[in-house]
Amino acid sequence: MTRDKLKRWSDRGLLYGALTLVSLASVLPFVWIILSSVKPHAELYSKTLTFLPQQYTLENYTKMFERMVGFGYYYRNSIIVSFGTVILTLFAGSLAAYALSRFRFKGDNAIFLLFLGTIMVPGEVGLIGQYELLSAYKLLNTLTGLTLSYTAFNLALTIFIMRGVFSSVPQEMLDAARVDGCSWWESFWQIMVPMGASGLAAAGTLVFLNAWNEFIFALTMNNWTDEARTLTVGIQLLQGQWQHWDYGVLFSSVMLSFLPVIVLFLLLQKTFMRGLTAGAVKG
Amino acid sequence: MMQKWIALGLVALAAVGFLAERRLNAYNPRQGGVTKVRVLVSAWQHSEFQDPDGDLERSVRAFEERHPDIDIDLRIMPEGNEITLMLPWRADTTPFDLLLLVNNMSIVRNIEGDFLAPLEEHLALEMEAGLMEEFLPGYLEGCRAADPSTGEEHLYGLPFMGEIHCLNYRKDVLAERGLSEESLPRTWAEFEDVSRRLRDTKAKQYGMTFDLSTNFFTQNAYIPMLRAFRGQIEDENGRLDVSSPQAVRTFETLKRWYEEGLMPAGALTPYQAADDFRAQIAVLFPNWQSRGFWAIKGMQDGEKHIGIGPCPGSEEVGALLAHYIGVIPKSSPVPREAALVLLEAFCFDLQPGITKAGKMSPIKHIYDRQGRAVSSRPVSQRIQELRDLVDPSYRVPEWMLSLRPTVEKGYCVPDPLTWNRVRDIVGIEFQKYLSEDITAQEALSRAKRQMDRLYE
Repeated sequence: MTRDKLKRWSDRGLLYGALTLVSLASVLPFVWIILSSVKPHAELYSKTLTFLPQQYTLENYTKMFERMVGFGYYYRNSIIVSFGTVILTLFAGSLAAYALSRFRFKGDNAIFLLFLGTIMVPGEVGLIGQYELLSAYKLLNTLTGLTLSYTAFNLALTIFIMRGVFSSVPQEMLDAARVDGCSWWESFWQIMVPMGASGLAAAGTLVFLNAWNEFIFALTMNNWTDEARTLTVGIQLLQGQWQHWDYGVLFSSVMLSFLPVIVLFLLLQKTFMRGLTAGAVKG
Repeated sequence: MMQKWIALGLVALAAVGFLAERRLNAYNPRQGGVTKVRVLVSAWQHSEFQDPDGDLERSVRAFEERHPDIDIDLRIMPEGNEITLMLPWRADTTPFDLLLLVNNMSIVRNIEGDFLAPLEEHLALEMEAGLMEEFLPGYLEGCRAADPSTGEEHLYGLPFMGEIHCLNYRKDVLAERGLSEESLPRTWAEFEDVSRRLRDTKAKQYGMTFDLSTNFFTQNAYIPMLRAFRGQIEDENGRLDVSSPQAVRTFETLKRWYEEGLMPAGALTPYQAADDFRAQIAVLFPNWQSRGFWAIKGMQDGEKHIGIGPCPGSEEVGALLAHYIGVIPKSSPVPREAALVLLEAFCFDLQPGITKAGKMSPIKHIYDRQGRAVSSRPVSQRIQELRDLVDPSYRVPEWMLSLRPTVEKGYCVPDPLTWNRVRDIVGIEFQKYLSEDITAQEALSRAKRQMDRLYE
């Protein structure tokens, strides 16, 4: 084996070794959660640590359903709020991004920078303000209120992504559509939306993840009844006195909570990756 | 055209959702002669007081049967998040009329904020009949306080569930090592001695463990030992004592035990001590009785493996107590009914359910009727009615009776308003003391300086 070949092999070995380590660091906690969710209580608390379950059981899942009586509500609410947020955010955000990318008007850049600025500010800063606002409109403890709150929170991110995506659509296409008699509104639906589909999918996935995993707003605004609670808050109901957790039950609930996210990501992963890089060259 | 309909459809859907939810959220406390009382319990209370005999649900339904004009709407919330309720309370509204997840430490900030309704006028009959005599005095701490605006003292809540610092121990290991439960330590010196005898390096067996982590050190190790060494937990200013010779002795003792390897290294990691105890790595575990009870519940025939008894020294000086208090927000439109629910359903009827969940009952009656009566005084008809609500056939477990005398002289952590900060200061200084080459006196002086700054 030549020296060059050896070097190439060792470089590759190092690279793959490093990548394997990073992948393991990301994947192992998930595998740990999945395996621990089917371990019996005694094994979870035994003197000897086990990775693979010595005995498989579904008792943690049974216990979780017994203790989290509103599980169905929480799941349903998380789905409604997350999809509602995605639809509203994409609708409003892509229209705003369309305007900011295609129309020149006084203060357009300033408006865009203002939106960008809100991404830099932690969302929790606006918690009390949003609470007061929702309270004034009697929207506390409602799915509508939480959806609106999440929409406001995610709008800037969507505008940022979609402005980049729309900017990469050739102006000639829009001009041609205008010549053919399309209004701006029709150009948006017939040119921009289909051309920016991958961007919409990427933004939609990110918004969905943000809404699905969000905790502090849901806890503050929608925590008074089972009918309004989302899954993240529901999982916290499993916490015992003094932050005591039954780990088996916790793992089973976490396992069920990230299942839809994984399914969604697997379905959309190609579009998602394409969308994230769509506006990277131009915009 | 299609897009327009989609857009319009979305708007219409949002409008319908908005209107429907507003309608569903409408609250009317009195309707058709029935008053609705919205009761908030924490999620763990809801499951623990319910298990195994459905006591929570039963006591609520029994109340409704006794009072057909009151309807109880039981709701749950994760504990620790009731602080968010201060937002509606500030606006003089409340989503709940009775809260059961407030402990003797967090009640203070609610009283300070002037958010709670005084109970005297709503329970006038019972108060006159000697209601307060029915409770163990240690568990009444925090219930009475001065009104922040007038300075007058009022009763802001009633305890319905107690915790007690005790000695959790592994019966199985004691038996294996030929030690009887009679040889359990009654002083910290005996505790050290028994722990040394139980220590087996080869078998990775430790005689003792503590939760010495920053968050829990002060409450679970420092205060009970300081008090057992005959120290006062409060100094002359009403702050946690960190300057007495007993405080120095407590720091020194715990460090020596840790350095000599009498306890597992996990003692410094939050919650690890409880797991080590449960996994049989450690035998003696001074902590709350709940920790021992959860260990019992978590294994088959748990009572054969785990025991709960008085903490060293507590029979002479009393035990550290914590408790949960039912409170009624000032903004509740139905305070009178809420007070009645608290008293009848939770402070009396639910008590067997509370003790089945391994929690201490704050009322004397449930212990006294089992033959270790402290006193039996003649009571009024109303008090007797309340006592009769406690299932007469139920008997509290022996270990709970053994802890009762330590409740009589029990005490709580000082100055709850600053407790979290003080707890952290002392906990951090102890951890530094473990790793740095300084004396206990120096570590405690540093803690004192920080506490002085905190109170300035």
